[in-house]
Amino acid sequence: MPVIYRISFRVLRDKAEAEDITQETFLRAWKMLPDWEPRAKFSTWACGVALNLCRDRLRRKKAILVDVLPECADPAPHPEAQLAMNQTVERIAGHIAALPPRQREALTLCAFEGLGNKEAAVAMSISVHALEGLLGRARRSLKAVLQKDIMP
Amino acid sequence: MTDLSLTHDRVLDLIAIYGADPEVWPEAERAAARRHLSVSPEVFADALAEAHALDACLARVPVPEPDPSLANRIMATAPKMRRRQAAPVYLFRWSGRRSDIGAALAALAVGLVAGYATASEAVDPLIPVETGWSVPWETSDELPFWLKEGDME
Repeated sequence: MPVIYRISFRVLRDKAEAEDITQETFLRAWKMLPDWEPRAKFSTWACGVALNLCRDRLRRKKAILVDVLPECADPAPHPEAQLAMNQTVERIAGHIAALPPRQREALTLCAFEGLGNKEAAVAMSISVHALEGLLGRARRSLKAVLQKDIMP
Repeated sequence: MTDLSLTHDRVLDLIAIYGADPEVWPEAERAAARRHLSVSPEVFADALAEAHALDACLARVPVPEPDPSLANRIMATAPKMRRRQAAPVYLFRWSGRRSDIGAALAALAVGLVAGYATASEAVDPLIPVETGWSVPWETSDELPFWLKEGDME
């Protein structure tokens, strides 16, 4: 499955929205290709586009939850679905989803998708130093909660 | 003998930031960091064990397969393919010239994008098409990872 889809899913935790983001990213790629100038790797550019689209979605979601539907902010999955899922994996996924968005993006690009630090930093429009800060904080937070919850 | 350009603290940072697998550490620091690990394994054992446990947890989180129609939806937005009367130009070019390699690359790219669609829905990438543009990668090694189905290299 395309990396762009995986990145989008890991940031948004929503399959349909990740598919939309993947489609939109490709659409922008097709439009941009005739005028492409290799200032950066094309793949890095594509990751950056996908991340920006994900951020837009997250901002819109947040606005809806805060301004219109505060009573619908319960993120608990449907009880029947929850029973069918592997609870341990879900708890891990839940802890990742609870990370601040930028930490989750950094973790997605580097830990899950294996981007190099420079490429991930370019995709996120930050410095390598800032990227390492985000990654370090993300892993420290996860280690702390998972050590209590799952890890031996 | 360890590499003095890297301190033990920096190696511990690399483990804390990037995880236990040296293959994902920054390339510029990887070799020196490996030397530290081999010379003073006891210094890094606990950090590596903790990072490895976290890596193992992260590796357990799956990503659901996208809808099979996604590939077709993506390809439907691609520049339209048209047959030319003469001198066809392939969708993907090799250094600006028509070639079998370019056609093969087109097959690879389109096949990978459409890889999770059903075979009957696949686009035939070897049909000569007119596009008016070429893509910014020229060899199969440069094929963008975001077009690949598997893990990135």
